[in-house]
Amino acid sequence: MAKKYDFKASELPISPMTLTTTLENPTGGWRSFKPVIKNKTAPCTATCPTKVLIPHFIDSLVKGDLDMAANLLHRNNPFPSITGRLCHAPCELPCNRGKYDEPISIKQLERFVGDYYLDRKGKPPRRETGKRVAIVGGGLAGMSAAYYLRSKGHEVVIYDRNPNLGGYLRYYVPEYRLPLAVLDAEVGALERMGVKFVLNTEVGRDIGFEELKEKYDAVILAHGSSIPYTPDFPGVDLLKSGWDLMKEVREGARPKVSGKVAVLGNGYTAFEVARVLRRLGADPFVVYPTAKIRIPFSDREIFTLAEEEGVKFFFAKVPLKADRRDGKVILTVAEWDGKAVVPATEREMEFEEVFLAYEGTADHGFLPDTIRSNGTLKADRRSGETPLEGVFVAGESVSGPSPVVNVIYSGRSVAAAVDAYLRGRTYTPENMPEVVGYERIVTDYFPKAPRVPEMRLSPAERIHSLTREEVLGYTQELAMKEAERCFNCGFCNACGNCYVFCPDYTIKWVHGRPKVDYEYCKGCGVCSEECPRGVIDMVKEREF
Amino acid sequence: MKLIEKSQYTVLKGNYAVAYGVKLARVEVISAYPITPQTTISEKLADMTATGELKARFITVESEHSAISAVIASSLAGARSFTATASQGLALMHEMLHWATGARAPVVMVNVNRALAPSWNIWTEQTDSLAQRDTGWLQIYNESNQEVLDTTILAFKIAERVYLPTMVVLDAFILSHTSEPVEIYPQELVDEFLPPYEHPNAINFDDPRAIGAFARPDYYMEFRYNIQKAHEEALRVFKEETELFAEMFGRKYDTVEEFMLDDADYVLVLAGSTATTAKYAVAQLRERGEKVGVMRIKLFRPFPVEDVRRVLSGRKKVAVIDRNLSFGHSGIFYMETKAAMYGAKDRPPIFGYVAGLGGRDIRPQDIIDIYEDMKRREEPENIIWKGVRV
Repeated sequence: MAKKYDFKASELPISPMTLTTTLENPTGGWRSFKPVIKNKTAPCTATCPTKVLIPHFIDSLVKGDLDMAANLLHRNNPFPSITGRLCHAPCELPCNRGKYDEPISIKQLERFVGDYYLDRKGKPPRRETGKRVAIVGGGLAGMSAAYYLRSKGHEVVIYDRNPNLGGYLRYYVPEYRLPLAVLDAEVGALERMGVKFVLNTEVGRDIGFEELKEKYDAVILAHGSSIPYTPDFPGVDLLKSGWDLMKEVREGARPKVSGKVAVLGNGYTAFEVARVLRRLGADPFVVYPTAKIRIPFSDREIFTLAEEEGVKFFFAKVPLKADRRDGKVILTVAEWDGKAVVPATEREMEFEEVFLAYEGTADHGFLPDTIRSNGTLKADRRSGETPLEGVFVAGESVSGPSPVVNVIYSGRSVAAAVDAYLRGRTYTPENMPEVVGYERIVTDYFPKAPRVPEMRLSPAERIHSLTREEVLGYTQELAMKEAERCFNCGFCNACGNCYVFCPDYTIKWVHGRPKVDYEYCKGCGVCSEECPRGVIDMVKEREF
Repeated sequence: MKLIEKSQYTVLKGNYAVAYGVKLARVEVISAYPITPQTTISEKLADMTATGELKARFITVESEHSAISAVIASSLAGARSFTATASQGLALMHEMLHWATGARAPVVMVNVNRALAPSWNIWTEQTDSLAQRDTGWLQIYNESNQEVLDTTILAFKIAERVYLPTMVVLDAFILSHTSEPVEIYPQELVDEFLPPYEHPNAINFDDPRAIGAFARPDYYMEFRYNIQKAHEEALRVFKEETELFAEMFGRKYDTVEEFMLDDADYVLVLAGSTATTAKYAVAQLRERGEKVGVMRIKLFRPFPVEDVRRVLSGRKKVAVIDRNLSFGHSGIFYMETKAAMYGAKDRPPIFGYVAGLGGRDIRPQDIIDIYEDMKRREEPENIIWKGVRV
């Protein structure tokens, strides 16, 4: 029998070595915690009403793949060029980077990517389902729903009483805030996708609701809240309409207004009407029902812009009476404590003109009683389902006046519900993955860098033009610089840190991404500690 | 050798002489952690790598343990690798010193002799390097800055022939921070002397292997036997390479240096820069007619037993002057010299002196005092303290 070990010293290699492989020792069995590479999300995405994949699209931007960035962005927001101008950007508030130096300028990055891809957006779907959907109202909610339903292969027809799509954005929002060219490009994208428009056609007047229901597999009501609210106090009929003023100005008219004017309102429209008046040469005062600190976050940006431009405010006041004397309007206002008028606070003020600029309300007159109740619609907030089969509601027609991004989300979620309905499936709202908080960010990997300011006009420049866009955004160079600041919280951007740091080479690089080899991973946790963006969790193998 | 004419003389501190030696050796990977009095070596090398003067990777690390680990790995990956340290840094490397030998990584390290703490002291003393005696590293001690540069080049040649890590040792401040004229050889000549480095078991991605395998009692001993054989071989290689070096560069080194020994009855044995002082003192003693000489130990591991016996046998008395101490026994060179002489014919009595610990100056008069003390004594003693206040 041969000896088991018969090497002589002279037969040994110089260095003691293993020639076969250490793979025979599957050290994964030593593990009590295992690293799991997770798809998480960032506070920005979690906060965004329509859940834009922010860390994802910014990563593509950093890597120079602008087409991919646009693609990722459009997944949950079809109109980034619109939100990039009009959104109140709630995403930037909880940005983890804000706890480190300054939050990422997400809105401007979104606008940059949206504008970059704007003229190429909109491809017809690869497959047609043969199902037909009518959308009542071609405002933002209808457009959003149309975008997603059409991309799913359904035939989509939008009915709108106006000569073109866009609703409030087209006929009221001023050119300096949203250029018509941008809106036209967004409508063009829908056209390229094959969405059909039936314009100058009002449902309930030119075509009946029942007829639509019969002709289509599903109907989405997205008629918005387009009827300006008019408060009820003596002399209200003496006042002018701020809505009409915005509309005229949008159409190119430049009515003469000068001197002290007042704007009565309770939201975005009031601030915007005041700004239009400022540009027309007047000295506007906004009479606003709440205290300054109670202006909702969604109106903060427009309020700041107005304030910068010299618009003045009477806060926590409501109008009680209006009168016309010697060509002037005498407005009686009083303190408002949020519930009632404070006694003995009435005071008269003299203005050249007073404009009504309250937010709109919905007109559901053309709809059957079965889905109406107390002036609102019976509909699920998320899926838009109503008691009528195949009839859904989206946007401000059910929610009332809302920020653009909420309207876009409504269109998107209702489109998903309609798609499920048309395919005979049950609609399930999307789940939000775990949010990565600041404590999981390894800030050592991120040098401090201030937020890159976007180009914008100064207040003095702004008040001289009703057409020149007030915010100019980023150049590509600025956008890239800002994008590089992003922590990409919760999104594995294949930085390779785990791969580099794994002491046992058990993190493999597969198709450009890390993959844990659990056969050998001992669960040391170095990868999880070193992941700059909190993607890798250490998960207990089983209960001790 | 005609090429030598292209050499240039420059004034260099010992640490810079190391750096130029490393550069001439075309080292490919350097990793080091700063520690006084070594720091200027790594700073100079970092500078050279940064400017591209030396085409190498400089790996910055958080400790000496990592520095030596990095260069062991790079050496096994097939790159000529270098590190430098001193004192506490060397002590921290201890585990990996054994590793380098066991894995047969021919790393070259410069250790600048510095006393160990506490009490904290940055001055020269040999205990740090001598305490690493049994780690299997070759150890070569130096007397001048020129010798430092030459030995750095030689160290790579020897290390890479026997696949053993090699430590080049110089004295803190006396050499490391003192300027002397140093000849820097032309690169072509050094290239001719020192061919590119290859390791037979180098990491090869096409033929993967893990260095540092497990060896059971069945053949662990054979690996150890091979290391001992390599050390024995190193002694021969040292002789060959110093011969070749002398031919090519005109400077002759040997395992031990003999100074005024031809007719000497008394021999002073020491290592490092103190030898210069001793030579100066011996020259004075010679003028007085004293028959005394110096044997400087250059190669400490492998220990040149034959050469030591040849030089010391038949003398009347030998004094070993140690700037180091193995607590509980004696000076380490003394211990080694005595052990080498055990069983030799005509063995002289050997006296152990300990002097200059923690960088205390050893002046020519101290050497003369030691010589006279040795001459006076009849019985050898293990430790005769020189200059300690008791």
